[in-house]
Amino acid sequence: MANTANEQNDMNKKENRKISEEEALAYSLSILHAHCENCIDKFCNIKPDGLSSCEIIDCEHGCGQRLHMCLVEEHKSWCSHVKVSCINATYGCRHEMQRRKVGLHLNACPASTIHCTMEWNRWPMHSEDECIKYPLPLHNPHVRCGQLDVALALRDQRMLVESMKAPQRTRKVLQNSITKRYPGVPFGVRSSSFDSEYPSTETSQNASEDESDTPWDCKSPPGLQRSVCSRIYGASKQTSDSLSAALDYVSHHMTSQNKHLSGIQESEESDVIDNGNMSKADEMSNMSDKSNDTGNHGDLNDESESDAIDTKIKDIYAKEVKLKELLGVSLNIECISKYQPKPFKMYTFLCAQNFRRDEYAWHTKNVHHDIQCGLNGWLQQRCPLAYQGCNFSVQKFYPNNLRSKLVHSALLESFGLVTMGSDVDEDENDELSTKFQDLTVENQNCAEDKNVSIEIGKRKLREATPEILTSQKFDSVVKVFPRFRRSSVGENTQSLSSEKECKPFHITSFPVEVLQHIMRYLDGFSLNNLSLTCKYLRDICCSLLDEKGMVLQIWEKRKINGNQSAWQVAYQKWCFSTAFTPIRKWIPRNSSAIHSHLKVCPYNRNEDCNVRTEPYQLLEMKELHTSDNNDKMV
Amino acid sequence: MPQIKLQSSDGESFEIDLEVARQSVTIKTMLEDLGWDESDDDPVPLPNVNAAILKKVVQWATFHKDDPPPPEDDENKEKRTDDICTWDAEFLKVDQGTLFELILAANYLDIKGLLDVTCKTVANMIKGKSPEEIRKTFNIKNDFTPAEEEQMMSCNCSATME
Repeated sequence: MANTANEQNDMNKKENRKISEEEALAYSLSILHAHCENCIDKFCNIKPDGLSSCEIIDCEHGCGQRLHMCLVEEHKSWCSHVKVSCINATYGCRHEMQRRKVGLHLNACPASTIHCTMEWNRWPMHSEDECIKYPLPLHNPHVRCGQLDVALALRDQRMLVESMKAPQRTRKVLQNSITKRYPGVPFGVRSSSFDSEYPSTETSQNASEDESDTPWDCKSPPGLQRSVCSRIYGASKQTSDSLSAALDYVSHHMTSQNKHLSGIQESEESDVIDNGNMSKADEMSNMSDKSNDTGNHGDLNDESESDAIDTKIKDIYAKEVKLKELLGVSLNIECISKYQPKPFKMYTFLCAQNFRRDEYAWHTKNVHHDIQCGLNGWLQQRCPLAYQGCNFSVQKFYPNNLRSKLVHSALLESFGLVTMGSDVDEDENDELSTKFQDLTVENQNCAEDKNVSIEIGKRKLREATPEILTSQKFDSVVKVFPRFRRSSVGENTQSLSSEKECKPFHITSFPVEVLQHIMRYLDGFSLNNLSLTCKYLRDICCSLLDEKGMVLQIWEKRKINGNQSAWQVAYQKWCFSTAFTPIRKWIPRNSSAIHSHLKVCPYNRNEDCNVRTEPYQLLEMKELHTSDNNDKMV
Repeated sequence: MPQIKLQSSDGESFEIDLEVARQSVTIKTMLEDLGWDESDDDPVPLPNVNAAILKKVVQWATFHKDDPPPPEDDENKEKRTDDICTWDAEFLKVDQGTLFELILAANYLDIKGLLDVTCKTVANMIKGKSPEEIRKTFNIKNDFTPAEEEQMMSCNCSATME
């Protein structure tokens, strides 16, 4: 038996070799046989003679096609079972798949990304008499709060403030006939990139040697220009950091002296009103001039002095701060079509995030259609006495199911969906049955949330209680706590490590494939967050980039041939988008929340309203009565 | 119905239906390779699973013994985490340690259904939370240096490869 099998094998091998020799011959001459060239018959039974025809074979890739051997090479270019690389390979997609699966893949291809260009607008914040515009707070408040509209407004404001750091030239370029004054923000590129691109001469003179904390390190294509840029950037960043610290201090110092501030405001604003034609750019440049001035002071300070400033900032933020000191844009979103001229003073905001093609549809539907359009009263309903300063609000719908909750992450500048534990589920169910408890339960949840510190870039990390006010009067207060990175990190790690010892099993000790299995269930939003927790999990998240991430082309202006410059793809960046689990349905929540809140609302006081306490007669009932009788008599 | 004995790491043995046990691909292949028949009385040793966890696994497998075989994984199919059935959700209301051990057991025994549902539960614990909250939930130690953290934040890209 064994012998015969071997013989057969040998025979097969011989045949194979023969075939391959023949094939090689045919390819080398690149000759199609006269018969084969036009033969499409699967069952062609012509006798192969090697001159005008050759053998019929099955497609080796298993597509079921039978064809003459000399046609194999040609067949490969359209065989549905041949493995090909994705058509977006040049844009960074590394997937290889059978040709028939390319179409399906394209929907989820990491290199097939869409830049969301959704636009919305906000008015600047006006004070009570409506003509005086509040100045935009120059520091970027990173405030954590439970209320989505406040969170989004703060996000927009951060973008706006950041855009003001952009050079005037960039802003001018982006202004057009539709947005005359304020170009839409963010500008697509992060401010850091244009900061370095058009460095002001002042800062470049102060260039320091330290480039260790520039973001360029990670982007890092080497080159002379790059290194110069990073140095300049490092220097300018240093200055601007110390500046903003000083500025923060100064501005808050000023806010504490109310009279003083209001005086300045008025004078500033009257200037603006007088010179109605003065372009925003000029106004901005004024502001940046001021900041430069203060900045120089800050730069001159030595370290001990900046420490003093730090502690002063700490003192200031440990106190309660009113939201009007944090928020310079209106909470209400206005939607003016992109192609329509906008009112002169209105700010324009862009979504400006990238998504994979399969995520984009749900992103627009959920974020822009459902959430943003609903923030002004539909999805999130405020107490009707908000105008007096009540900051109670309630979300009228659960996303997807009773266990989910919408959040806004200042870290990712995006909305996200949290799945709550089962305990909360019970709470919420109870909440549904016992209507009145509603508020307190929710407030408690929020209160628990707020203990979690959020740490964002820079050192000016702040955290606010979720009870943020939103009325136009801004009487309510926000508690803001400073978080200084170094110290807080130290504390955290200590406490964690001590706890860790008593825990038997740790998530990082799972086998890699199990962790990957878990991560495949996560959305981009969560993967982003998870990858920031620790190095090991970050590595595993990165291993899923091909599957769940996306790849972006980072363009850069480079000098070619001496003076000419051109835009080139500097590198490809792999990242996860901020898309979250699709919200397919919204479940209405107990609608009596506002109703029951009003019973306990501290702003719902009779003496303030036009409610009469003593009874009075609605109409002259007697007369009516008698006239009725008279009618009957007649 | 034929019965089979499973022995946990700490020596306790469980007698369960063969059909229930065959949901575990590991046990199934073991039996096929060893040529098991009904007359065999030797317990199948499972050195990686302790009695408490094995009991939970058997409980899960018994409840799900009539389930249709899980569909093949499709790359392009969206992975949902909100389709955990109520019995499973109730079943998995356990502390984190037990949940993790269940995952390890499901992975070792190769029970796809159980592995999926437990992983979904863990995914739900991660979903939407901030890095700090995730660290708190799972006791993860932050081992990034402040400089690295700064860099990640300022790039505004959480996972980057070049």
